[in-house]
This record gives sequence, C-alpha cells and structure tokens, in this order.
Amino acid sequence: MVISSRLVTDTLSIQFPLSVMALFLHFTCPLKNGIHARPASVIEEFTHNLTSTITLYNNRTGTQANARSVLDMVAADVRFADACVIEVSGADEVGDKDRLQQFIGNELPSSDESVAAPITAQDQVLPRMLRNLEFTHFWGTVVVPGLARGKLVQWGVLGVSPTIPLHGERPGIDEVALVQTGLERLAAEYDDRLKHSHTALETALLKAQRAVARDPAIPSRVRQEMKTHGYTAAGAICATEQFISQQLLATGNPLLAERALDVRDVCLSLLKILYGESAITTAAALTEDSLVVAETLTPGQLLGMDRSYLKGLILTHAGTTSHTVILARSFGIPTLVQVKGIGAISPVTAILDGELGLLVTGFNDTVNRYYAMEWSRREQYNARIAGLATKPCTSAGGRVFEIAATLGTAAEGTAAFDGGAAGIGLFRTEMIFMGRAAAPTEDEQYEEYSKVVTAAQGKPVIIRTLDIGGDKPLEYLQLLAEENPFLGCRAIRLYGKLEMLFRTQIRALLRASCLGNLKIMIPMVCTTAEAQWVRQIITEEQGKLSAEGIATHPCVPVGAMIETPAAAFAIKGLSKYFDFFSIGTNDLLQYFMATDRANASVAHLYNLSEPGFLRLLQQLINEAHKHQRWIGMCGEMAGQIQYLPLLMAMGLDEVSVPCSVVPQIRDRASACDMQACEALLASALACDSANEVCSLLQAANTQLPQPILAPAQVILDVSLSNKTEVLKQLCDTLFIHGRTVQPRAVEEALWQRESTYSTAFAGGFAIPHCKSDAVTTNTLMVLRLKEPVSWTSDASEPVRVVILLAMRESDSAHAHMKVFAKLARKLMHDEFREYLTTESNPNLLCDFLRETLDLTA
Amino acid sequence: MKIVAITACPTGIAHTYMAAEMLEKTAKKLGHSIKVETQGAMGIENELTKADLAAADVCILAADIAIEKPERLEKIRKLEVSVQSALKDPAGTIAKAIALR
Repeated sequence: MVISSRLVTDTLSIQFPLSVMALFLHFTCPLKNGIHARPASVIEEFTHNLTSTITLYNNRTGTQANARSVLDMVAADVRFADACVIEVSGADEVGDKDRLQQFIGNELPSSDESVAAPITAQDQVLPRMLRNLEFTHFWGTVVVPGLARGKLVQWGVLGVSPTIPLHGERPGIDEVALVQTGLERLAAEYDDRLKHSHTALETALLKAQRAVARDPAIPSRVRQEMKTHGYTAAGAICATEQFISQQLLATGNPLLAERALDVRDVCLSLLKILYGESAITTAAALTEDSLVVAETLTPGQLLGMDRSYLKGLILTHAGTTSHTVILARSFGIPTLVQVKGIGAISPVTAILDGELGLLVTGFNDTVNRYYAMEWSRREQYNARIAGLATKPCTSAGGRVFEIAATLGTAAEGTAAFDGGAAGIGLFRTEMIFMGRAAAPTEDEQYEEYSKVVTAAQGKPVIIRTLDIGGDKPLEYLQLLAEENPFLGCRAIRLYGKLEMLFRTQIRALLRASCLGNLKIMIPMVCTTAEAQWVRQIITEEQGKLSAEGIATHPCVPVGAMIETPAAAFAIKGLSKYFDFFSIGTNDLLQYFMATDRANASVAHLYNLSEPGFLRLLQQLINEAHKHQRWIGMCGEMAGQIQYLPLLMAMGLDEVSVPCSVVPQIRDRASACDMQACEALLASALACDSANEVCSLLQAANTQLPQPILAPAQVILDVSLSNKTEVLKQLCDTLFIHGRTVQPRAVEEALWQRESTYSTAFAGGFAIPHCKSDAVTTNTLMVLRLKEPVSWTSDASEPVRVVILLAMRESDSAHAHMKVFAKLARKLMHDEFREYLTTESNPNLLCDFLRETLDLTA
Repeated sequence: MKIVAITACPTGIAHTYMAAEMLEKTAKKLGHSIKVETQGAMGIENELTKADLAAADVCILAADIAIEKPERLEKIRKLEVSVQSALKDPAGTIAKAIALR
C-alpha cells in the first residue's frame, strides 16, 4: 500500500487501513459524556449535507464508524478525551475537511449542552450497609412501598401480532425496498413534525429520532438479518431492534442505554407504517415472578397482567397520582416511578426496594446479605402484626374506630378480609367500566358487586357509583372536552346526562344489596339539590325492582363522599338525604387549596398538614356527629400512619386504606394513647403552618407506654458478620416490635454516636446508644453474637455482647433514663458481665435484668 | 485522699455513668474517698457542693463536652481527661490526679 507523504505524520500512531486518497483530521473528544446519541445526531446532521465519505476512528477502542450513522458512532463508544481521527475522502474532500474542522472546533463542544451529567446515584443516601459499594442500582420515587424480587420484563417490547409472518418470502414483494421506503417515509414524518416543533427540547428529541430513522445502520442490519435468517421485513425489523439495543446496552453507559428506547420507538413506528397500527403488540406475557418495566402503563394494561407473577412495577415516566398507580397501590404491588437512567433493560433478576426507592440490578455478597436481612425484617414484622388480636380500636368519644379496606376490583376482596379489614370503606367501580368497548350491563355489574358483598360475609361494603369525567375519561362515553375538566362535568354532575347509565348501576347495586351489608356512596356531591335528585332516582329504581318482583334490601344506606369545601359546609342539609359520609381527602384538599397536585409547580401546596385543612376536617367530623351521621375517610390521608393519631382524636369513625396496609394501621391504631392523641390534635389545630404541624407530628409520641425491656428484646446467639450488620439488626428488631417506624433513622443516630468514639468496652461488650425521636418506645435490648465481631478498626477486643439503649430525645428527663444509668453502672462489674455472657436462656436473662434494674413493678 | 470528680459524655446516656461507676469502684479499692457528680441526660446528679470542693484534695474532670457550672472548679487542682480514658484506666487516672498535689 502506498501512503501519500502528506499523511505519514498523521498516521504513525493509528492502526487501521488507510485509503490512498483521503484527508485526516485529529481531535480529542471535548464532550464530558462522550459521543452519545445527541452529539452523534448533531454530527450526523452536519455530515448529511457533505458529499465526502466520512469515517470516525476511535484510537482508544480501535473501532471505526460511519459518520452518517448515529448508531455506528454511538457504538464506537467515544468517551471524554479519547483521541479520534476523522477520515474524509471524495471529490470535495478538501472543502469538506475544512468544514469539518470548523464544525469540530466550534459546534461539537457545545452539542451536548442541555444534557446533565449522568446520574451517579449520590443524590440520596443509602443505608450504611450499602454505602460505598459498587453495585448497579437506579433511584426512583416510591409510590407503593414494599420489597419485591423478580425478573425484569420490559413492557412495550416490540412485537408483531401472530398473524404476521416473521420468516419466509412473500411472492412479488421486495422486502428490502419495503423497509427502505418505510424509513424514508418515517424520516419525512419527522421532518414534518420538526416544522411544527415549538420548544428546543422537542426539536432536539425529534432530531435525535430522525437521525435514527435515516441511520444507514438500520437498513444495513435489516438486510443482513434477512439474508442470514430468512426474515420478512417484520422479522428483520424486530431482530434489528434487538441487536442494536443490545449493542447500546453493552456499553454500560446510561445515556446510551436510554437511546435504545429511541431505536425501539423508530422500529415501532416503522412497523406501524408497513403493517398498520393493529399489527403491533407491545405486551409481554409473564411466566415467572417479574418486575415489569414500562414508561407508562394504562389501568387496563395493568389489569391484563397475570398478577400472580407481577411482583413489582417500574414506571419510568408515570406521575405519582395516575390511576394505574392508585390501582397498583390497592393491589399492594410495590411500585417506583420516575426511575432515572434505566434505559432499556436486560432480563435479569432484580430487586425493587420500595423503602429506599431503588431498583437493584447488580449484586454482591453484601448487597445479598442486606436484602436477606430486609426480607427477614418484613417477614417477622408481618408475622407479628398478623398475630395481633382483632380487638376493636376506639377513637375520641369512645367511638368504635374501624380499619376498612379500599378496593379497585372484586378480586382483592378476599385478601382484604384475610388481612383483618373491618369492611370495605371504598369500592371503586371505575375499573369495571374501563378498558372495554361499551358500558357493562346490569348483570355484569351485579355479578361484580355480588362477589365483594358475599366475600364480606356481613361486614359493610361501601360501593361508590361511577366517578368519571373529563379528567378520568371513558372512551365509549365520548364526553365533551372541557377547558377545565377538574372543575367541570364529573361524577354526579354527569349522571343527569348519562341517566340510563346511572340508573343501570343503581339497579345492579340494589339487587346486590340483599346479599349482605351493601351501602351506596355518591361522589362529588355539593348541594342538597343533587342529593335530592339522587335519592329520587334510587327510590324510583327500588320501586321498579320491587314491581318486577326482584329482591333488594328494604333500606340500603346511601352516603355522600365529601370532597368539596361546599359539601363540607353543607353537612346539616345533606344529612337529610344521606345516611353516612366519607371524606375523600385527595380532592377535598385540591379544591380547598385550589391546587392540582399533579402540577409540579404548585404541588407543594397540596399538603395534608395544612392547619386550615385539619380545622376543616375537624369541623366537618363534628358537624356529621352533631347530626348523628357516621363519617369515615377514604382518601390517601387515611392510610398515612403519621396522621392516624390526629384522625382518631378528631373522632373519625373509620379509615379506609389499601389492603396491604390494613394490618399495619390496625397495629398502630391499637397502640395509640387517646389522651396523647387528643393533646397532639389540639396543638396541631393551633399551628399556623404546615411545617409546624409536620415537626409536631414528628416529635410526638402518641403510643401507649410499653415496657422498656421485654423478652423479645433479648436475642441470644445470632450470627452476624460485622458491626454494620449488628446495628442494622438492632434497629430492625426495634421496627419488628413496633418500637420505631424509622429503623434507618435510628441506625443513623447510632452511627453518629459511634463516630465520636466507639462504644465498645472491656470484656467483649459494646453499648451502642442514641437519643432520637425516630425511636417511638424507649428500649433496652441485648443481642449476643455467636461469633464476636470487630467493633473498631484497631486491634481492640472483638465484641460479643451488644447492649442497645435507644432513648427518645424528648424523653430525656424520663424515668427510663434512670434505668439506663443504672444499667451502665452495673456493666462496670465483672460478675454482671459474666452473667450476660453465659446465661443461655433468654427469658431468665430478661427476668434477671428486669429484677436488677427494678423493672418488675 | 479525698477526691471529687465530674463525668459528662456526649449523649449522657451511658458513658457518663459507666465512668462514674469505674472511678467510684477503683477509688474505693485503692482506699480513697470519692464523690462523683454526673452530668448526663438527667442533668446534674450527686452535685458537688462548695463543702465537697473545699474539703477535696484533687478533682478529676472526665468530660467530652463543656460541663455545667465550670466556675466551681476554678480554685481546685484538677486533672482533665476524656471520659474514655477514665473508663479504660481508672487507676492510672486516679494516680495522675493524686500526683497533681
């Protein structure tokens, strides 16, 4: 090979075949995130109008790429400061080289300005055990808490309907030309959309997708797939999408992994162009325990999944308040939204940690140990609360306080009652109406309502009539678009227009009423006129049914949901028409604060701790009771533990919460000290700001007193491998026995104390301790290890007996402090330590401590 | 020998009392009389009076934090140590304090 003299100096360091007539340009990648899809698409856009053949070489990896192919360039994995060479050859190579030089100097460095640095996952704090470890994880926002393990399944994976052949030749059809035409049409579509793009962001996104659509890597791969595997256009497009996605994922760069989604979108659009909308499926069947990853999901798609295998949901783009999220919550499916940086995924086993808000896809021994401890913590906690006696709780005024469940489908009924629900406080009927071509018939509805009422075995079931409107549309109803649907024709306001639909639902409900304790609830009532109208319809339908000889309960209770300030101040009048009320806090707070909680710029105003809102609730509950009406709560506030003491003190009769939290809420409610709750409520109602209320709730202790030391707090001969695990185990045990609801916060407080100086002392003892209001019950705990662990980094004696002293900060002057002081002194005596080291019976050890520390009284 | 002491640790839950106990136990064993004031989560306990301080030969201040009422100790010979060293080596601490006389 002859190399022209002008090239010699340029090419000494690079090893690739050089064409004879070509010009070379050297540069160092100036981009912090490397040449990922966005800069690549800027390069592609620039080179698109040049006539030369342009090739990009990455010296570090020895790869080369066609500078007209975004995907090629991306696969070359050019990173920050990589030495690169651009080869230009063709008729106008001199002019093009100059143009490129200008471009690289002036435009390339700023081609990625709008992109933030990759997320390094340091934006939130990991628990001690997981800190400073290398493992793959992604942060998200928890919308349904819990812990789940399963294989990652990408929802929305490209697939074609089974009617379309993937292999074989179709006579008379040139499949390659078909794909080429499709891609051209697609690029033209993007051109068109670009003309109408209004924002810089949209333009950038469309350009990136257009670049993929006109990327030569796609048709070339498609051709190759057809040739080697005998695919049809459809088969080849699916295979190409798989191939390119895997290549992008293999780079391990989160920005590139996200681009795999662009490739999928483009291939999906291409299939739609070639085969029509109906030929595409994006659903995957679940065949084992799965964590489903999707950008968004409709309630219908969620309902269509096999829930025995659906262990968790990762919705990368969904908001926190969508109906799918509400549904996931009522099913108790741990769910994360707004998960950052995940891109397209490989089908690996992962853990969804709905406590921390983590999706973990990479594991090591420590991570495995951590999650083994987490599973055990949850299992032990669940076992304890499941074993609680189902004794009724009382709220202020000695009223029975019921913990009921909120359901979205009849299928959840059994689980709700198994979990100890006193009834169903809200059965949403929207799901019965969703995801179908026409409204369900009276019989279909009757069947669904019957299932819940029968499962309840006489316990009350409150069924809410259809709650839809412009904000929650149903396709087949063709509701008019409204300027402001949230303030428009929704729920009861629609019933006049959809009278037959409403009457059918009422008939189905009335028929199911004779099977048990069914109550009807009407959403969005504001005025007595509405109340009167509803009552009249119900009376009429009841009359008709009885004329037809169909059995109904003689007087089915009818209630109203209180979700507008108007209704809250109309209780006296509404009591003439309604037998009970239930507060829908989600809407009530939004209307009260004139705030859309889904609108990020005003969502901060949606704060349940707003003192004005608490006063509204209190006056509303008082008013209902004044008129002898039962009043419950079915909004999200009902399921939030921190508000439980306030709601009980307000005298609420019931809370309706997601099935999954029924046992937990019951546990907390039965441990509430009503006097303390009432005092807390009085202080909260007197506050001037939501912040004040929040800090009040955080510092408050409304629990009935528990002994500082119980047999469950003596744990002998456990195997743990280091100090970090020991401290976690101590805090997990506090959590299991209801002595803290924030085990991680207590753990942090212990570590903070350890950081001043180690709490280890003579004889293999350590005495970790803290003062923190994350502790709910002052606790003394003894944990003895099978094998001692080292407590400090120096060579001091390893620790075998660990004594935890956990004290509430606000209780410092408490009598329990005397116990701690006494214990601390006792520990300085050899015979006392000797006993703690050798006693093999935890109950005897506990008794001994209780006696020594005067706790027996 | 008449010794007085004050102990005070960061949280006031454990080491204040552990050190107090150690100093009392060891002083007794060595034949000294001792009174230890604790400044812990319960505030000042077993407070050293003017008379206590006047009668004492030496004072041990085993504190990791600023103590309450430090002015009381202005006129007495005192050994200042960390709570931890009083706890780990009470006999040595007492010997050092006595050496101050």
